[in-house]
Amino acid sequence: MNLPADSLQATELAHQLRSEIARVFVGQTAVVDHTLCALIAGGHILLEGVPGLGKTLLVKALAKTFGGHFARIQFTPDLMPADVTGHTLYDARTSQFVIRRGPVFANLVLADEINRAPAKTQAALLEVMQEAQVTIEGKTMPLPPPFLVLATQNPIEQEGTYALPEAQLDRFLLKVLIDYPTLDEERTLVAASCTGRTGDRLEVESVRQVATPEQLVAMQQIAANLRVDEAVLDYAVRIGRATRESPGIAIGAGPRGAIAMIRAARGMALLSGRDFVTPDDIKRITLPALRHRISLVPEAEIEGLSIDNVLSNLLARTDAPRV
Amino acid sequence: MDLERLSVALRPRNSWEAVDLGLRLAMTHLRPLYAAWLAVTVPTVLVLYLICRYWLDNLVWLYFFVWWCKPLFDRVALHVISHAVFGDTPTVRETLRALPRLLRTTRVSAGLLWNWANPLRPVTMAVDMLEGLRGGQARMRKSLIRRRVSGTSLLQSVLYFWILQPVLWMALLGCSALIVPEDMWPDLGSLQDYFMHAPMWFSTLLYGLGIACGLLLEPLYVASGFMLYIKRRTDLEAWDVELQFRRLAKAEQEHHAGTLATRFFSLLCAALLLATLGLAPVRKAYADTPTDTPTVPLASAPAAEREHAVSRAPDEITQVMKDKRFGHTETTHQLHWKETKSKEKDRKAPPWLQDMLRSLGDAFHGLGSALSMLGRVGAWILILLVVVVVLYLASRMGWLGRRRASSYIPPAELAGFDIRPQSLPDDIAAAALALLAQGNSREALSLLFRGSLSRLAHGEQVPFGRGDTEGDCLARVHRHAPARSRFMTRLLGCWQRLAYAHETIRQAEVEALCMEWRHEFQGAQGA
Repeated sequence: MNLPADSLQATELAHQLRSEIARVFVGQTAVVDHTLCALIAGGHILLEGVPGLGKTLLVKALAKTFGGHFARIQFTPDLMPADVTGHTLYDARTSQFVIRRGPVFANLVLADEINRAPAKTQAALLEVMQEAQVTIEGKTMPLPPPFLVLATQNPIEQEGTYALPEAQLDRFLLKVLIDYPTLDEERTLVAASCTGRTGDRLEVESVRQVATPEQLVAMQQIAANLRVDEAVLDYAVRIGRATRESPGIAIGAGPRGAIAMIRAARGMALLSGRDFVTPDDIKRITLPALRHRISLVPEAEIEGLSIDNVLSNLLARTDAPRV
Repeated sequence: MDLERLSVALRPRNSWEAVDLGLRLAMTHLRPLYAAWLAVTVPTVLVLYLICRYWLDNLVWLYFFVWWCKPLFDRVALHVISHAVFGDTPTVRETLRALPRLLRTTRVSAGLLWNWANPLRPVTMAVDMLEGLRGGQARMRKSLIRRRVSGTSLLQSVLYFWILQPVLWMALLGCSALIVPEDMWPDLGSLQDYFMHAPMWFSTLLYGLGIACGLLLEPLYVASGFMLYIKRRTDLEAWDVELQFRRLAKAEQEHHAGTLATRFFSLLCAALLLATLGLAPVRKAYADTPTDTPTVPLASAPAAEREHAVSRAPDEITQVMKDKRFGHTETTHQLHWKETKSKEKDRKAPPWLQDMLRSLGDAFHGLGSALSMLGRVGAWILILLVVVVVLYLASRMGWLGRRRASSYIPPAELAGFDIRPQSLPDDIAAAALALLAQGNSREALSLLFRGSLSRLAHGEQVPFGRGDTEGDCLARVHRHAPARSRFMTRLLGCWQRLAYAHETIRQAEVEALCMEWRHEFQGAQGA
């Protein structure tokens, strides 16, 4: 498989990935697009949704499309940092300490219910996400590229959870809300899941490998070089700054918010088959890129406004670039 | 009809007392009343249920049919209650046997068709069933009977059908909601869906409970209405007085057969009944059962005999009054306030006081006029305020959305673009071509974009917002001016490539866009 040379080939590759995922993961096109967008931008995703909506299936299918290694970590209150990153072990035969690598050494890591683990374990994973490397007993080991973490949160069960602090949430490129599928999607999904299958095992045999990790890395490189006009850059920065001035928002997004918007917008442009970013890309990605970086004032929460409402209003009030 | 067999005490009652008495009567004869009622209604409802369930496949029809059949069912209840009131409570078998006759002779077709929605049905139905009148006579009789009780009967209908029945229905549904597991309860979008598109078990429960409530309350409704009818006849024909006289006459007859008193009572009864004949054109109740016709002395006698009896009455009354039991004079003493003329004179106010009172009265009259004027003005102000509040609420709720949309005022500036028509050249396409000729393709496309936004916002009322990106603008054009969407897609595509990808757009392409712009917005420009 040849490495993609330009944005057109990269787009074609991204579309192939998308259509392969669609073989087993029915509907939820926005979730798939945002996941691919984060993969292309080299970022991580925080998925919020009730259990049973196919998060693991999505990650497994995505891993299979490019032959990547997939790992799943179920976060529990007794999970230790070493259970995530790995640890040293004394080998009596060789009389040496050997390093046993943790599940984080994979291309795609599903951190299920991340908010159930204590803060130190969360911090260990988030540090890995930021640095893309793990240090055990003084030895630093890089993680295999591409590296994407999909962390999930359950919005309805808050008992016995450790909410992620804002500083750590900031490390996720996107926060995607995964909702129930539509009627048609669910019907198709149920029909596909119940035909010729036994047990609860997630079947991704029908997904073909259409790319290699190297190709994905090349695709990420191409996306990172897509053209972003000054006006578009300015638009993203203005949106980010507007979150700090909006009366409904207590804590606005930092500069990392605008950075995330530009990175994700590049991924969105690549998926749309363009080699340049438009204000539309910025607008489409603003909600997932900013919703976990801001906090509402109590008055807005009392009035029943959601973060998405406030951000949508803010987008409607922010002048779009006309050059 | 023998008034002496009446199981209720007759006396002048107001309408609500009569309704109450009807309820008591129904409660007294609860078992035979409901036995006959259910013996007729339940099988009918079951048959209708099978038809609606398996043939029409919608139980809304069941509710409608049962509701529609109520005048028919009411005749059964009235049959039982009207016999029960005279102490002749029919058994279920007797009622079922009487059913064909009830269907045949009690104007059922009228009850099911044009009289179906008559809220005075339980009162007037008794005329159809018990007096057997037809045509104009029946109309006159019903008009007479319902006079003075129509308000009560109407309120009673409202009370039964619009208050008691829905409340009972909702209460039973609430109880069912507590019993039915939450997972089974259908999750339907709107209230209409609950009535029209619910699963069959739920529809059965819903309409079954509704019908059960209706069937439970209907006999009580009929009994109350029938007692209003009895009350009205008592008022019109003085049944209570007649009954008292009869009882007195009977007692007298037993003790002093052939005495003057008996004759006196008989004569009084005759006079009274003859007088009531004028008010009540028909004296025959239970017309369908000739053997049950009222046993009224002289009322059925030939006219000559009646004339004779009436002519003899004064002499006989004089004779009776000579009897020592009736002819003597009793003297009673009672205290009264004594008011003499002198006191009245003393109380008369002096002229100066009268003048003062008169002037005071005039002053109060003037004050009253002023206050009434103020009241009128206040009322008009109140009406005006109500109108203003309604209009304000209408505008807030979006009821005037269409008018607001038509009065949309486009902004002068849209994200840094001045889109006022006066800020643009008269011939935008020509100006863009001129800019293109000078090598300023970016300015030319910018002018076309600005001109398009201006024409669409001012000419075709497309509601652009300040935060609209190119994609948003295109979506709004798709929605509000679909005829322009093809051109706008091309124009914005070129604009995005030029502005954000920094591509060089071919001169021919921009020229073509200028020509097309002129073609697209020629009409809008004129506007």
